[in-house]
Amino acid sequence: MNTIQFILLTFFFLFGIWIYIKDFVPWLKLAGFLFIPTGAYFVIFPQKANQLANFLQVGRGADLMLYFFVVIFAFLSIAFYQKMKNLESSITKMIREKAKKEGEFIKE
Amino acid sequence: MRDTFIIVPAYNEDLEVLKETLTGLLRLFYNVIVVNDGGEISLNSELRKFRVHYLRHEVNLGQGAALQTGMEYALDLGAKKIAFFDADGQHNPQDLLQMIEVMDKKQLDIVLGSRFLSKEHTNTIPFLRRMILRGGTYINFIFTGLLLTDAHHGLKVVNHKAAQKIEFRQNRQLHATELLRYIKKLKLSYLEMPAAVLYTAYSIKKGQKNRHIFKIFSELIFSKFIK
Repeated sequence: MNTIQFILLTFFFLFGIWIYIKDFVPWLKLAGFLFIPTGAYFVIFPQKANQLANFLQVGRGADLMLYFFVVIFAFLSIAFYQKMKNLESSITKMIREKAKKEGEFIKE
Repeated sequence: MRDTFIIVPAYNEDLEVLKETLTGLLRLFYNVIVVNDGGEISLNSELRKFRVHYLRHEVNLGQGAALQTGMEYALDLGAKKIAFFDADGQHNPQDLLQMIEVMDKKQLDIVLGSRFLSKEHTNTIPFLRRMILRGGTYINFIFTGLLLTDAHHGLKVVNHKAAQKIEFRQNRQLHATELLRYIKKLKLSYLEMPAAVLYTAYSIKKGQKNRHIFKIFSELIFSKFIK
């Protein structure tokens, strides 16, 4: 086992513990637990990633990973943007209600 | 004019400029609502001398949000017409008065100010700003199907019917485009009228910068795809 494999496997191990103890929503927990063995598998057998890439007619495993992460990143960006918008809209409603309730008429 | 409410959104405005704006408005109008959009200075002590309604957002939300808050408040107070008026001293209350008169006479739902209907107004706009505003009208046209002469004039009047149906969901500057979408969607009757925008040193410093076009444009694109 070389150094980077050791570092990555340690990371997966700690990540697994973190997901296990934290209170994430079930689907996130499931996604994490699927990600860890898949990731660990490709770290231990890097040539398997190449095989998978070749199967999908991509040159190298590293390229396949890059494409994969670009797609995930785009998806997450939109999901987070949506989430942020929803959050902003509920904060706006709260602040607006308070502003209207505390509105005053200033007289001389 | 008792049933007309003027909404003045203010965010960290220079107090003297704000007071001047309010003095000008109160000379002609009875109901003025100042919406302090999360500004650092508390205005209610400063505005003691003015007969205005005062609302305050606890945190800064943006101009669109401030207008929406003011509009809802005005409707609760029984407003029949609601006008938007920038706090930075760019607008002329006389223009607003004329807009309201025309609105009454022609039974319109919305009257919008424009800097491009009179040569005299157009010539005061800095060249680059003029180009950007021109471009903005076409971008608005692409997104809303409504081609106006001015893209982002702060001076607007909406009647009771329109105000009830409009809800600005875009907190920041996109409310201008949003309004056009409502006009198109709800088939509201509207008219553009000449209204000056005074480019003072203060308003240039405080107001929209030319580079904001990129920010507004990206918000516009996002808003089109993500509701």
